[in-house]
Amino acid sequence: MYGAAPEARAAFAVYIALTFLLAYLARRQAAGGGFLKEFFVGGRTIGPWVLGLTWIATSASGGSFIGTPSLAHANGWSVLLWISGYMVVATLGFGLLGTRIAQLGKRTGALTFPDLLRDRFDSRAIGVMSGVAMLVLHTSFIVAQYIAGARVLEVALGVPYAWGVASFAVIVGVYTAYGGFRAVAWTDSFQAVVMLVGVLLTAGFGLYRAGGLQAVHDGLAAQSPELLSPVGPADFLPLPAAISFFVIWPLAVAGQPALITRFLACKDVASLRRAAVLIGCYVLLLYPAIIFVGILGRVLVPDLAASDHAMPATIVAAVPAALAGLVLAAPMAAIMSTISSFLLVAAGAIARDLYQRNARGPVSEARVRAVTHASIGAVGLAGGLFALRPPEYLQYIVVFSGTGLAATFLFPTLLAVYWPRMNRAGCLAGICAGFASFLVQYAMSGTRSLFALDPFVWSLLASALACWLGSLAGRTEPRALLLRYFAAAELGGAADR
Amino acid sequence: MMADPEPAAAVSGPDSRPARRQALRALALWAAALVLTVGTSAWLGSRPDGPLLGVPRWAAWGVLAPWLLFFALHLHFFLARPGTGEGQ
Repeated sequence: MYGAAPEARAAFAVYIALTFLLAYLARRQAAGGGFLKEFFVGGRTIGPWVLGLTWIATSASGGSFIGTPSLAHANGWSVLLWISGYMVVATLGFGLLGTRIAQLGKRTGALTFPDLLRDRFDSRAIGVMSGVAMLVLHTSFIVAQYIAGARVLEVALGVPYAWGVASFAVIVGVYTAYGGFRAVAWTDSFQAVVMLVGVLLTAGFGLYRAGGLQAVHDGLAAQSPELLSPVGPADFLPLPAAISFFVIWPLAVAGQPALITRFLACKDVASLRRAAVLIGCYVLLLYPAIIFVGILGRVLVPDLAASDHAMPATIVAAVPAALAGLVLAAPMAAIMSTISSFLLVAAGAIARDLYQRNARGPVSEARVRAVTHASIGAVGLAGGLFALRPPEYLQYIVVFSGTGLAATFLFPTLLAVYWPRMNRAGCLAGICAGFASFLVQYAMSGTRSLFALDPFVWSLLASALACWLGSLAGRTEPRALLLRYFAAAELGGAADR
Repeated sequence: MMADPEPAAAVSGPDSRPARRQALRALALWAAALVLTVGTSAWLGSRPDGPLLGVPRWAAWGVLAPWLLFFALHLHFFLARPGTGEGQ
């Protein structure tokens, strides 16, 4: 389609083989201590490098690698402002909840995100509701990743779209089910390195092909001066939208259950801090370069067969044929790492939060293992079926799913771990208000709600208000329960005795 | 049925206050970054000027420069803060 090199097939094969090798080695390193603890949090032995790289590889999805460059291709430099909230994504992602979640994971034994909320309020309803919401929104996120992956295979190898979706579903499903969290974390780390190297190589080669920054600037100006403005063509990013997205990116990442789960798996807080430093460096290098690749694509390949082809088409146009296959593995890596992490979370929601913790009697380890593996297969299949009818711009599904998750869970989680007065009524009200207001606004006004702000902003506020009002209206949780989460000195009169 | 906790049972739970202070500092950094980045970009974007090394001036001073500044603050934030102590 864009003249992909035949070497790409061999490079892809090497990349996939290395991914499976890492999954195999990771499983051999299993720490023991029971299937669930090993499968969902890697035995809580994950150190700073793997923690940092799995966090960013999960966060940087097909949206970042396929959707964002496509928007930059269509809207020019304005997309740099659109994504600029990423400058504080690591600060907020680790600073807001990281330390506290790591602390509580060890103290309470929580294995999944719904575990945290359910146990904090001793409420089966909260566990089930958060499990269902996570399952729905994570599955839609997985759909977006399948679409992105199939687009890459379409451009790079000429694989028909439907076969691309099926390939992704099978490959990622197999290694996730085989190795669980540890395999996902190890392969994520490898994939994070591939992503960064791939994007930097593409940006470097693209800049050379285009003839330097000034030539890129002149090329964009010749096509449309609006490509150089902060608002972009067709009023892409007016001021309220710029503010909305600066709110959306850091807070949506901070409230992402799949990322919060990473903190449950870390070895200690020192590892967490080192991981945060690593991620700050990584984000600084990665995201401006991703935008730049999309902008370069507008100059090098102005006409695309499908809008989401911007990244792979730019790679094919800019990078020498011998390297193109390896560089094309970068978006593959971003997509696979996100699918595997989200499959794990969605399977955990089914096997742990909906099945095991609601079973009437004890459930054998073999049974939980079987349900977990079946859940990975079922979610993968469902995602693949939905992906067969892709929308025009992938990034819109990514924004919808990611912001929906954070709008639903950020404030209930924040207040659950930091505010002793928060109770189950407040938590349920916060989850319902965030989720419902988000869906209603999207259905009624699309991406521009009241005062042209994104529905996410208002949903966050609605969720926070509902948490607060619900907590004031309901009874404080018993002191014995609160003492699992807070120091006695913090409770004061906040708990029933 | 609760999740199975680690063996170290305690009478009093972990102190959330150091982590809460850290969270509030992170929020303050985010708010400062929002005002600086969007404000500068909107201000410079409204008065078109020549590019800076091929990059639109609003993008260089409004986004890339603040990105470097907040990266430095991020490093300071996570390298300088002591651990939260209890339960680690």
